[in-house]
Amino acid sequence: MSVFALQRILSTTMAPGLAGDSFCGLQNRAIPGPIGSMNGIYHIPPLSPPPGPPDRHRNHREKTNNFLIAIKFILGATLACASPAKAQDSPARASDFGQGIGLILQEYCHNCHGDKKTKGKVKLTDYRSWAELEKNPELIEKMIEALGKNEMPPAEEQQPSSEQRKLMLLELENAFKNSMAHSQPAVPLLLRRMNRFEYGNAVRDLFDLKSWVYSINDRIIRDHNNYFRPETGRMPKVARVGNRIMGLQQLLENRLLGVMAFPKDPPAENGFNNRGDHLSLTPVLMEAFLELSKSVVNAENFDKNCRVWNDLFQDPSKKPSLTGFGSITADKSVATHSTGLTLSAWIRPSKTTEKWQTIVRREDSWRRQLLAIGGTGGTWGIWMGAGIEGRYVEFGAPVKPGVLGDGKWHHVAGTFDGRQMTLYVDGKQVGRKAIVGKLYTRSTGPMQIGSYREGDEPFHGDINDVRLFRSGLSASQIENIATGSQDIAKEEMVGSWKRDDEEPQLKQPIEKIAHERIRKLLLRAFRSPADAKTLKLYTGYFDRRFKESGDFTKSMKDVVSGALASPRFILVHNEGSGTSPHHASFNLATRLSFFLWSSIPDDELLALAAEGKLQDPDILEGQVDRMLNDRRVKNFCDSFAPQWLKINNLVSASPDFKTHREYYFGGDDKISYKRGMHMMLEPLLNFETVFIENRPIMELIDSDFTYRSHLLEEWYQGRAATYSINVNLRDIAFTRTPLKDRRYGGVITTGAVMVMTSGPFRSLPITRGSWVSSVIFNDPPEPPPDDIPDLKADDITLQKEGLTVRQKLNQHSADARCAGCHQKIDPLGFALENYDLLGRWRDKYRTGLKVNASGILFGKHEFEDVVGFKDAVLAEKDLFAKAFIKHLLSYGLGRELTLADRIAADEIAKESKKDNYKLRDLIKQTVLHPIFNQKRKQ
Amino acid sequence: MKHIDRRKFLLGAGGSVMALPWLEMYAEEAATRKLKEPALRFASFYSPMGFVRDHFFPGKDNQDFLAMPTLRPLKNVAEKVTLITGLYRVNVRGIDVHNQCSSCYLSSANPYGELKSPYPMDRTLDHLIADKVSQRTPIRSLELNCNTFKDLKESIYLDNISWYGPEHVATSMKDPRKVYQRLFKTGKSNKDITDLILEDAANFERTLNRHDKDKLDEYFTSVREVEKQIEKLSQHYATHERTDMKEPDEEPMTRGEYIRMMGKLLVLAFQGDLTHVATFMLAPERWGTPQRFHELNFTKSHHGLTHSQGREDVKKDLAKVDRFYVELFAEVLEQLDAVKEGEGTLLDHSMITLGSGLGDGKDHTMDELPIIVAGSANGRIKTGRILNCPEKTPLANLWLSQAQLMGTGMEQFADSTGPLKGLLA
Repeated sequence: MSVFALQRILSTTMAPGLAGDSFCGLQNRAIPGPIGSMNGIYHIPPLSPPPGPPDRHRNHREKTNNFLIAIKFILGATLACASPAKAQDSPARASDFGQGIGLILQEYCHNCHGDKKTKGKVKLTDYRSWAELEKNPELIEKMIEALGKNEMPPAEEQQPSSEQRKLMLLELENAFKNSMAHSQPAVPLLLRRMNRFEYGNAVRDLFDLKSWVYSINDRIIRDHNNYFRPETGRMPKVARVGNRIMGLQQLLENRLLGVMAFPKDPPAENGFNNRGDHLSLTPVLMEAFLELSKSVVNAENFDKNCRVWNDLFQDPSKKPSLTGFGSITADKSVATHSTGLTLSAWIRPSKTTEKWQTIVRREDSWRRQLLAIGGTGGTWGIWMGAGIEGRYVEFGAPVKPGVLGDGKWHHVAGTFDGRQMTLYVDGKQVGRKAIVGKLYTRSTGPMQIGSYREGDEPFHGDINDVRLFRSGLSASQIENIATGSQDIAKEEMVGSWKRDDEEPQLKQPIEKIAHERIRKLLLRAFRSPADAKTLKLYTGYFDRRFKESGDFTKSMKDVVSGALASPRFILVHNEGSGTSPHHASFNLATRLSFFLWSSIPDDELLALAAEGKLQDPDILEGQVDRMLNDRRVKNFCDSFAPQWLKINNLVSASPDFKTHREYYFGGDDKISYKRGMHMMLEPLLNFETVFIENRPIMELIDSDFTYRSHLLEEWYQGRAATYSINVNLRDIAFTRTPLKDRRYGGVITTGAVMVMTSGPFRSLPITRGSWVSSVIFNDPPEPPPDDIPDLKADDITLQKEGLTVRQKLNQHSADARCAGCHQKIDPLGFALENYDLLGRWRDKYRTGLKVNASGILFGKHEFEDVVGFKDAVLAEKDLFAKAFIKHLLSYGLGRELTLADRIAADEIAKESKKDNYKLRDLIKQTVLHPIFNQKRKQ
Repeated sequence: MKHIDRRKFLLGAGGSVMALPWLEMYAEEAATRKLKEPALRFASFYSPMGFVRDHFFPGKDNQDFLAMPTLRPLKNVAEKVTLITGLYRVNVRGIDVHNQCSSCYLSSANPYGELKSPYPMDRTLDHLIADKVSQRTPIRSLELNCNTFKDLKESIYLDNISWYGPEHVATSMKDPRKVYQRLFKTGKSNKDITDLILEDAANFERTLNRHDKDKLDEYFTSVREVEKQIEKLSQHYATHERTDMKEPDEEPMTRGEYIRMMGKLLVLAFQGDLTHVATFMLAPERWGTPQRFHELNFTKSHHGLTHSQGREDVKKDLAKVDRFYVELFAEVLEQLDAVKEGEGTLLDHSMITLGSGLGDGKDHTMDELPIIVAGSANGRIKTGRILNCPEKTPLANLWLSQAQLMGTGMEQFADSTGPLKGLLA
């Protein structure tokens, strides 16, 4: 049985890096220890000559005293100069190497990292001065890491005093900065192709589509009640959501027909799927891009989903096609002078199905007003609705579909006069209902014609001459309108809309209009103004096409296909030696939008870039705020959060079907759903809450709220609620649940994380530890040595031996080669042992043995259980924050971080700490930091 | 020198390297000789995490690989198969072993070189060969991958054995319908658009720095390749018949049916001279996820099994997985052998390798790699036997021999010490 279990352990612990002692590996490391700026000049009095070995204790005491003096001095100096160290300033030396840190290293480190023994390939005896050590920033970083987390010296060896440790850390931090001062600033962003998530977003935004471009599982959450409203600063109590990746029935979403996405881009190891070095182009992918460039604009439903249709594709010499209707903004008098309401329109439906078709509608929850055709409860006919006496009232009158659907124009109207609602077709009353009450009249939004909101309940066919009156007209007035009279109740009419029947008069040649449209298109698609040559290439293409076909729309679609296949669209971050005057500003706009929106910049960003204003710190800050309030920031949450949490692992988590049947629900043995489908959404919604409500990121560790579905709430209570196979899985209500029990809350202890770090038969502490280390502390463990023995920790063996997994693992970890890493990972994983493989609390194992979840974090924070563990992590919140910032930076810059980035991460952390590491602020500080904003070196 | 088809010439002359003046003189003869000798097909199959050794290697004294349970499915084509022992690759310490064993398998990239990516990577054997032979077929190469995992949680390195170069993966195809369409449908030329975007790209290039120019080069190459392929395919189908195979539908397939389908597409591609170069991953490396093996009636993690193969029950299951993959491989060989071509069969005119980047999935060793070469490469490889190489013979030696047989004229392949001794007839 332990086969699977062990495989789990191995698979997640086998990250790249060095084997052996824990002085190893540099990837995405968190930055431990206090960070001091050390611009001051200070001096430490020389110590007495290095002591010989015989009298260790006395000498030790002496040194300690001397170091205490030094520490006071250094701390004073640090406080005196609070400004962050500038890279070009070379801070003065803290102390003489040989007399200072050299002595400590000699005493505590040289035994294992010297000439006699050189563990982990670290030979500290090679370094006799700061100058020598500063040539090796990697080593300094390792030393800081190992000292800060109390990994070195190993627990069983003699330890330096905490003052000595503190001093070393301060000095090493200083040395690290010196060391990096003259290094090349890292290249922030390289040219790369868009990944498929970004491509879909970019195309959608370019044409302001009402639909998605394609349906992909890169986005996990499906939002069914518009819960994600960052501008409100508040998550609603209920989020109605579906899980795209594990839920069935999520494919039914409005998307361009016949448009196929290219394959999903894999994430980098311990990283994200927007990494420049991973996103290359190949013939297979290019084939897909070329196909997309054609299939998008030629999709059957592209035209009606394209909101920029009239400004781009519509032939300017012809009246707009029937795909779009207008809207009516009512006269202000409607609020004060209304006695009722009349909606009147001419319609010519091309379809008369059960589905509701909007004629005219103002959406405003119960206050809405509408006129529509369609079927409800077996009655097909015409419907009127309005907000009356504090509630929404709707009334429909039956009409034969064949009457309205005969292809001819018909007049329809609905009136409400405070006493009754009356419906008319072709001037004849078809229904009347007594409704007494006051009409709500203070809604001011425009009344949409032919659909509402984002094209919901669209009208098929044609609509014309829509009139809105502030009173209920009489039957004879309606009859007059239906016979063609234009002047009925003019004093009561508060708005109207008529299709423009005139052919537009072109003020300039049609090609000129086309060229101007192309200029605007290329600006948006290429994220900076096209130079004259490029513009000419595309306008020339249009001219040839238009000359051949005479079809404006088709020619424009061809141009758009070209632009969508152009490298200037597909490849982002072309930050080389651009030619436009505000090249850097446009680059910044692109960086911002791809970081925060996973898409192209919008008009406002481009306009500011064109004026060269985007780098202005105040303007930039304002824009970041605006972007974080924009719905498109959902793309950031959809992309960053699941990748950061490695949540995709849950998809493949397979608790054994026979022994853990309760993980599966609904249906039979062939068709069943996993509870993971619900679980997966909990940490993601929690992340979004911390984001939208700008809460401290520590609430990702420990929060007093969470979002749970009924199923999940029951599950955590130990009840396995079951549902029939026909349960609505598309649209699950997740309710904000206050938490008093600190065993829950935050992301770590959610069912999602617990299940995905378990095997089919038991929880996997090492996998859990590895997850915590990688995700929370951004410190993925090194790969284990090549010949790992089988742990043999299946239930039967454990029972026989009377051991817990922990005791069993301890035997394994005693192996010197394994100890280094396991000392580091095991406490992180065992802290979570009280959650079983299905994410439920347990005090005892199935074998009856008690769970031991106690441990010590970074050699300094002892804890008894998971609540204590959370406290320990919170006590290291600076470490967590820096780790989180590094995840963010790596995502924002689309590359693996380098040593030099460590300083930036430190500085961002320092800035965001002032406001208690609130998530939105932290993202803002990341964007405002020069590392995100700096000009790229050639 | 004017452009002449150096590749065909070298191939016709038997794969050895010639001095250039010779080349021009005999170019004519080589072309005629090619008519007599069928074009060689190259395919490399990859099975992850090695094979259970004592079910795979017969041991020094035994020359009958059919005696081994894992290799028994090869019985119908045994005469045309060579089992090679003693091959190894350098395991670069300090980097993840699974990632390197798949991503470096076909390049054997210099293990001591400077890393431009997390793992030592280089242009892989299939692409070095395609560079030379792709002119003769409409499609340059096929990269097939039978990865059915729904969670794309593992790295790109575990999921790809075919690379254009460091950090430039050759996108593999996993959807049989896409493969079918690529092979048998003639796309419409995008020439209108490609002329436009190539001109645009040329202007764009002038504004870029060096790194970005390289990136743009991927774009140029890809666009041209797509266009070339469409043109060549339509030319091809002007004189060749299309397959009568039906396009795969969306019906769910078992693991075996799926791999079989991909194998059939490969056979058809070779048979129809649509391409002569292919790679085929039976499954991705590592991937710590249980997987349904319908035909074996269990859902298990192949990787997990390899680590506990010390236990008899586990080893038994693992051997079943090994054998399952060898069976599917053997089916492809049998299909190739059933296609008559000139005086032999398609298999005789091929060089089909099945191997793994790990010798032993448990200990992660890269010595004693399990390697089978099927097909005699037009009679040049001596088959139906076991070729025992001295211990620690670089795998790159085999790759060098294959590169030479395919006519690349290469004299060195990664850390090769020479062509593999004893391989040729």
